[in-house]
Amino acid sequence: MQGGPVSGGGAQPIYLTLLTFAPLLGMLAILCIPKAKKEVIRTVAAAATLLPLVISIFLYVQDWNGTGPSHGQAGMRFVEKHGWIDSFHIEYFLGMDGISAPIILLSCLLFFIAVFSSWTINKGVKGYFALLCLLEVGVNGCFLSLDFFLFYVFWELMLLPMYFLIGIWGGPRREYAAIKFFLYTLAGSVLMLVALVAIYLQSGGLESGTFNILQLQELMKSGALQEGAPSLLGMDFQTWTFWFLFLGFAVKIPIVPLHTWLPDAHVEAPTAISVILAGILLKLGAYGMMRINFPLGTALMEPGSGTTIAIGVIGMVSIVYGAFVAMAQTDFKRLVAYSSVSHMGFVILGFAALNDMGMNGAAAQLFNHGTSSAMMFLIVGVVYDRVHHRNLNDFGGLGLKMPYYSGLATVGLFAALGLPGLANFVSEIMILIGAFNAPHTQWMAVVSVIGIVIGAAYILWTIQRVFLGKLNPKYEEITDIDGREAFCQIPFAALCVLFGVAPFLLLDVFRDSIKSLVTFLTVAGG
Amino acid sequence: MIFSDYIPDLIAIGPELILCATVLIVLLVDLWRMGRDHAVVWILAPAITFACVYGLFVAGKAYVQAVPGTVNNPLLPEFIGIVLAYAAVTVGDLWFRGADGKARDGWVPGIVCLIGVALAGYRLSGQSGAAFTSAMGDEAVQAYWGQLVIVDAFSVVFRGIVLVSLAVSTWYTIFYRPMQRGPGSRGVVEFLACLLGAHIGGMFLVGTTQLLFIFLALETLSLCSYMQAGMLKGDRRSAEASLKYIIYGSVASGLMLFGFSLLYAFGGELTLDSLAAAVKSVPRTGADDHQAAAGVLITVGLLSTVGGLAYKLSLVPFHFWTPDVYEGSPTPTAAFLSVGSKAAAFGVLLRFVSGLTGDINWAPSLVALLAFVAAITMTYGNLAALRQPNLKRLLAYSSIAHAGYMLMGVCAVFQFERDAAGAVTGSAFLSTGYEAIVFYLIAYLLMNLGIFGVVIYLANKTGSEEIDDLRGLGWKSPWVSGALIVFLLSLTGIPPTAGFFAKYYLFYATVKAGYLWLVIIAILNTVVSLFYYFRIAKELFLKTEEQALFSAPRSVLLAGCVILLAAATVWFGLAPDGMNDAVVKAATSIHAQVGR
Repeated sequence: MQGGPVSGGGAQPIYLTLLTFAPLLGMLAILCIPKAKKEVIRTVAAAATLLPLVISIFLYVQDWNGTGPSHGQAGMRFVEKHGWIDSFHIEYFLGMDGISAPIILLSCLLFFIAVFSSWTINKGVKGYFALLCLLEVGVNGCFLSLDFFLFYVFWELMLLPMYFLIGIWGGPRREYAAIKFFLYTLAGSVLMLVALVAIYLQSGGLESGTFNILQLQELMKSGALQEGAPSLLGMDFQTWTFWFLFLGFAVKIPIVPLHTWLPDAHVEAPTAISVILAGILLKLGAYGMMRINFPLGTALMEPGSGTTIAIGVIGMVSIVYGAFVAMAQTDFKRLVAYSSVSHMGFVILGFAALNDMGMNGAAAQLFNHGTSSAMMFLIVGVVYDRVHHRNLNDFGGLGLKMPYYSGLATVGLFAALGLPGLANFVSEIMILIGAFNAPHTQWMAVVSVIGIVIGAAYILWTIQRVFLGKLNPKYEEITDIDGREAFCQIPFAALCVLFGVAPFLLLDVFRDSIKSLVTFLTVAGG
Repeated sequence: MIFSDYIPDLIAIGPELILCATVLIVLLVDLWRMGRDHAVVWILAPAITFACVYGLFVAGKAYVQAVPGTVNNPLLPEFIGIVLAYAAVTVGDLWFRGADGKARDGWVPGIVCLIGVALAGYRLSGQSGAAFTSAMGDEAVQAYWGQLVIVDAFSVVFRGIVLVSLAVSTWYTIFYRPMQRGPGSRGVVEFLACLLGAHIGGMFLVGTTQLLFIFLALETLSLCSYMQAGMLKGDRRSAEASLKYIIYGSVASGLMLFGFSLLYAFGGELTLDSLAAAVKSVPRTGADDHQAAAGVLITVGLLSTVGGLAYKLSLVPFHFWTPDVYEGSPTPTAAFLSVGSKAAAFGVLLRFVSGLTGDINWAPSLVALLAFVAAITMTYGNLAALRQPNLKRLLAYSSIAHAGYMLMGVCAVFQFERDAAGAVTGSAFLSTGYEAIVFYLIAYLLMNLGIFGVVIYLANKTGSEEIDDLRGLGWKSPWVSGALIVFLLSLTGIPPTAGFFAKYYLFYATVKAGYLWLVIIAILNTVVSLFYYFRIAKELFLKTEEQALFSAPRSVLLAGCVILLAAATVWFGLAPDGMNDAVVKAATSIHAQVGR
């Protein structure tokens, strides 16, 4: 797993720091530019998001080749480790493995595209792009942190920019949507904070504790954290911290009973923010589960245990419920939002299967849903910019007037539908096979197929209502997609096709990391 | 004994005296600026001062001679400090009643105050050197004036907090419009004198372990606060605030004094150390009738004392005065009440509760009671804040909630050893509890002072302290509003701010002491608090610039102060190690004292 030369001596690469903090420099630069110079601000934002994108492509390729410096720690590459808050043993500890490499690439790509898709925003340009850059710092930092405290700081750092991006630049009910998003996510993350505090205390606290995620996982698995640990409501230490963390991450995904912030946030957010929200913020919850939550609960993650069944049921319910609710929507954006709930349910189901196939599928689904949902929101954005409504029943025949747009949109929508040959098919089928192979999730896989069928139904119905049929005479004057909008969508369309036809380009990157994760979770003492 | 004998002591005294001298200078400079020829005052001021000093000379001399072994300790200067403050206020007040009420700015007296604060800070850092170098054990505790005033790392840190609160409140007073042009304009100087006096009281409060002196310091603090609250003369709400504060306050003082008398009746001693020794003599089990009666005395005594302090801390159910007083009093006063006054009261509460209760058999019940009060206080404060339309009222409830959080730290000081049946067999003090609360106080100092600064800044322009009237102002003054966002994040407890780390520290200490349920209540409260804190952010930024009622306020110096506080809030959130050193030393010092 760890090929390639080890970087010489004590010198640590700074790729990951650059990747994380380049947008922060961009933000500071933007704050120094007079607010009248809108073009300059946009250009700086594009540059600030381009640099991480270039780095992440470079790192992805290195990871795919299996080269690149390694620190020899659980397959982590490009590791950076410095003391930060020494009295609390908090470290500035970044690293990247196969699980984070694709998702970082996705994140950087989404932010870069988001800048272009926000090019037409004219109100408070300076604040908008500054917050967008700050948001990228939080997101990238989260994916790269290997110190639990650092992770939490980045995790919370995302809340504020999101609040303002939805609340200031959003639609008519933006104030409600923004605070709802903020409250839900904070409620989840404070639960995480309690678990964080308790785990740190059990690891030795101020005297000898650690926040090193990898170390904590080993300690938790060996049972070293359990001694004299506080129980809660009759649950032992590992159980209640597991569920606290799970809730914290699940709000972000979101799982079904906790999902109600999502449609509101999506519908009210400006297009680019919806893209980022669906494309990458939802992935954070799932990523956090893989990176932090599950490895800290190995005792519960026995295949067939009550916990895995519960998680599987949550995934299944999200898939089916999300699909049915999406079908009932008349607002285009709301439909896409609920389809996200459904598609993220697959990720949870893949986790619950707890085998290589399911877990690989889940990791691939994270990436593929990132591209396809981002594209769907861009599709909605294009038409909304022209007609200023999103009522599905009020379109019709747009394909006649907007052929290029319809062509691109069809790729995105078919990808979301799970058409073979496009990327989502690969990941969803892997999840279903994985879940079917695991005895405890077998019946759930069967039930979840309903979600796919319904998914096909609502997407085809949408295509029919928007692009096909007779042209609604209101839209005689409508113009086709312009160069900028096409530029935003083409990379995603290309990725959907590329990873659909050649999925090994994606799967090879995280295969080893996923394998060691599954082994860690399922093999005792491993 | 002649005066010159005391000169070395005068030089060696603490920062408090410098502040007192400042009060005098403020008043005298103002007299001079008036350009009036009121010979009466010029004679009266030195005369009253001299009389007070002389009286204290006599009293102090008698005290020094009566208590053996304290001859070398400078009893006198700190007493001079208090009396001078009051003398100065009185004299100033006499003078200004005759003035014509012409509007005067507070620049000159304000700057003089700040020079005094700077000098006092310099002296304090001198004291801190000795207190910090060896923060362990007895040798770090320097006792002055027959154990009346002690200087240890704990008191130095708390006095530092009070001093910063004073400096910032003074700076705010200079810019606070109602004080400059509005109903308070006739009393800027008296106001500053009261502010100084109150902070002197606060500094003494955390620097003593003697019951009577605690009471005196607390009354100094309280009386000056009452006067400040009513200083917007002609504003009905200000008068109401002052009256309410006095009435509640006197009940609390009486309660506390009653508690002290019982403690004295129990131990026959006035210092906490001796009382603690007496408490230890009551056996944990198998007490005879006499000892049981003593137990009752100390129970009631302690509860009354804690009740009196709870009033200062505005803990439920002693919180009723808080919203009205915050709303009605001048904003710099509200800032002081929420920070300086609270810090001082927490300092003395920590000394009391951990000094006296550790060894008594009902200590677990008392701590459970405190934990319960903490839970109720934070929940009440946060829920009540949800629907407040007035910014200062909202901050009053927020400060109630934060007092609840900090009380968790007091509970976290205690760790009880239990046998298998759950009976308490022993107790220990956890240093982390002290650390957490001191850290929290420092973070709270930065963020709460900051947010009151923003209130002054914005209200100076709008003339209103209603949240609705702030709409759209974020676009007009982005820097100050940005600073406000930092304070709101910090108060909610979201990284990367000092408030987050403080909360984290507090949760850590509380979980360590075994109060997981309390932490869970606190985190739920955190979520609730987000809602009302961000109502302010919503008005500022989520409304458009066109909806704004007012143009942007311009006051670079006030904005600078606020932005500086915001920067400090972020800095200590990112690099808390910077202040953790002082925090740990303070905690170690009191931990060593109570553990004796």
